[in-house]
Amino acid sequence: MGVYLLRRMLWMVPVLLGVVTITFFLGRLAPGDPALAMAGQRASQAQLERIRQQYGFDQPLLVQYGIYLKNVLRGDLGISYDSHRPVAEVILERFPYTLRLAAGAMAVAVVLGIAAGLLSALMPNTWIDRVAMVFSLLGISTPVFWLGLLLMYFFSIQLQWFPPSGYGDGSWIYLVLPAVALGTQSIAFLARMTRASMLEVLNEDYLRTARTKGAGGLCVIGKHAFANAIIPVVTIIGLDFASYLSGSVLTEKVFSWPGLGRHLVIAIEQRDYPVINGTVLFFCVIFIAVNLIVDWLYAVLDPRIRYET
Amino acid sequence: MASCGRRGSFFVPPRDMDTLVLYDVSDPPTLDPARSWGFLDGRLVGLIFSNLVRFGRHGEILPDLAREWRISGDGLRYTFHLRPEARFTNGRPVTAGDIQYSFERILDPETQSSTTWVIEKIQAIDIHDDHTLTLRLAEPFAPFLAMLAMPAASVVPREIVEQREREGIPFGEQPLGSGPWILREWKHDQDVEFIRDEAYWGTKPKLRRLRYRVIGNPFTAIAEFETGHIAAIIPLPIEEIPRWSTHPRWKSFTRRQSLLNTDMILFNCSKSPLDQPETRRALARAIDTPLVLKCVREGAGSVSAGPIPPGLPGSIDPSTARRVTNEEIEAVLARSGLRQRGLDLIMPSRENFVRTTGEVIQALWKERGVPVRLRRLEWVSYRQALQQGDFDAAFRGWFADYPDGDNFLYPLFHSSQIGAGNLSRFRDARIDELIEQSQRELDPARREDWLRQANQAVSEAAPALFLWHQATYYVTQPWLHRFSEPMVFNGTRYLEEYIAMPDSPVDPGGA
Repeated sequence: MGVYLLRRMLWMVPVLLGVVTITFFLGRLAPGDPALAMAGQRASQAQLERIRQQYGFDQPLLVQYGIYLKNVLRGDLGISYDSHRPVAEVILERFPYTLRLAAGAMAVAVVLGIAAGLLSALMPNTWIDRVAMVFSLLGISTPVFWLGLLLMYFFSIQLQWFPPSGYGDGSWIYLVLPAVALGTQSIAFLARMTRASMLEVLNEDYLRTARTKGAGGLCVIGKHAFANAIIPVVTIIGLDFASYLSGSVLTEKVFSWPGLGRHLVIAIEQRDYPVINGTVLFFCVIFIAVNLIVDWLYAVLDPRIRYET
Repeated sequence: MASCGRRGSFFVPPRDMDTLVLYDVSDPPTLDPARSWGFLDGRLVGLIFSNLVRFGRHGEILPDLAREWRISGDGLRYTFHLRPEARFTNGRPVTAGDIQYSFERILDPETQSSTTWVIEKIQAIDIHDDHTLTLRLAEPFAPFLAMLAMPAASVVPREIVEQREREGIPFGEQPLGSGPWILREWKHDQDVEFIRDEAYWGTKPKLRRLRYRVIGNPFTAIAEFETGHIAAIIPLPIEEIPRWSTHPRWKSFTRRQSLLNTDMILFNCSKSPLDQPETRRALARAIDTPLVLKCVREGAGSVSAGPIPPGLPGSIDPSTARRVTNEEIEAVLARSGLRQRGLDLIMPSRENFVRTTGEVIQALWKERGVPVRLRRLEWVSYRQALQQGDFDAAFRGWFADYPDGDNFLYPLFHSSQIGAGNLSRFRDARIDELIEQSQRELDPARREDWLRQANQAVSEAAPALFLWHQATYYVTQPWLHRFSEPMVFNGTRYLEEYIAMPDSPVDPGGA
């Protein structure tokens, strides 16, 4: 396992290099001069030219790329054109908010999604199963920004249980609505995946054998069925969690959550290349890391899975 | 979402009686006056810093650091007498040397200021003593005093700017000025919090704290308002105006403020056949602007005849604009070749009403037989297309940097500004001369006449289809008193506002 992980981590090097290169050139190919984003509407041609010189936009693209790559290899992601702050500082400042929202949304999704899926699988074709599946279908189909506004209307304006938006003082009460809005799609996916996976496992021969040997219902479900059914569900959890960590723009916008996703969109609008490149690189690292953790979890959950060295 | 209400009251009481909470849609990019050019950062800079003079709510020029000033008869020397009691928030007195340093800092290329034009009229600064200085101009420039009230002309303390540089912290992140508010905390993308400077040398704000939250979605802002977390919705989204302004309870707290703005469709005057004034006039007069204003802005604005908005010297009454008959429009358009060539119209994709404006104008020109290719571009691509002249017609919104008709003429239509603000590439020697006369003229009545002539001439030459001058609607909480939106973006420092329940609106008096 250790060697496998080491090999995977070594593979990260060409992947990250590819990401740095593609992000750099894609950004420069997009129309829009960053000097225009940085200057006021009355800026003269001379002022625009000075900005281009100061930031090196007048250099050949390959020279710009070489300088950027050299700085990245030294761990320097550059300075934001917009705020003039170090990009690494901006990312590290916002990532805890993104992590908190992603963790909250995932917690909601895992608890409610798996519970709903288990109930449906254990009581198939009953009204509980149907209700759970209808709600999961609704969850998949509901756009997050609309759900966010609905939650705000009922739970903030009408019932006044939760504040409508913002991070406030960091209290959990600010997290509830954005976490539910963001996690709802995952709830729905997890419920349907858990149900399907459990129904498949419940009909396996080894479970019938366990039952005939006198194993109790909870033991059969918990120790044998659920442990085997959870593996595809873990894949979904890993993918969703990684995507939440790499920005949940709509949720962040509706709930004024100061996360990385919203910041990345603003950086794209402003042609703030250092922030765009640095954030995409950071997201890539996160995505790879989460996938590694999921792979490791497979081996923990299913002793049959072994990674060859 | 305008249902409102909690147990017998149609509003939610304030969360904190001593804090004014407002919001904007984005985080300010900087709080460094030299780098500030936007509305939000400009307004916040005005809270932290002081200028020689400042704007009042109605755009009038008021004393700030300068208690009085004298302008020489030839308009070339502005002598200011500073208030000896004026201090930065670190306790150091503000001196004439600080003003010289602040202005020189803007001109220093290292500062990367894009608002050097604010003070580039200054030829020399004579410091007579710590509290007296003279700004010498090369030529008379009537709007000069107003420019000194702009955020870029704020006064900064040299030792703090240099200290921040040594520490590697941008001055705009941890600014320090001599204004009534001190930046307490700036949580990026969340809020900017200010506290009242208890040692402020002028009239202190009545409230102790001021918070600007970042709320990007207008409907989230409405939810925050309805739950009492923010004190005002500014501006009301256009689609919400009818509901709030006719709501039986909220209508009395919903107000309208005319803005110093002109929205227009620029014509690219360097391209044929748009280089012909008669073609541009025909295209402009083919649009029923009152109808478009009603359709796309719920009437939030006033119809425009020329670039200068009402309320500023030089504005003209739309009813005086020269009429063009239907037959004339048809004849000109038939001759122009536009019906075969078509028009390329670009719009920024930021605001809903701008997108709709483009669609309505496209439809109206199409009715006249002129096909329009509508391109919606995100902001930077749109600005690039404008800069490169890659358009036939383009939406442009212009808001006053300073409340003077010159700000709607010189940067937009003077030929020297081609390549900078004059994006229609309009060139007319007579209009250049009229604008220059208005800049040189120091007598207010004669100057108004020059401005009106220039405005009328621009209207006739039609380098743009002048659509409207925007008005904004905003709604305030019943417990917020003495609040009103200023005419100029940095025309308020929130000194008078206070919070008290509406059934006991007691003015708490000075702080």
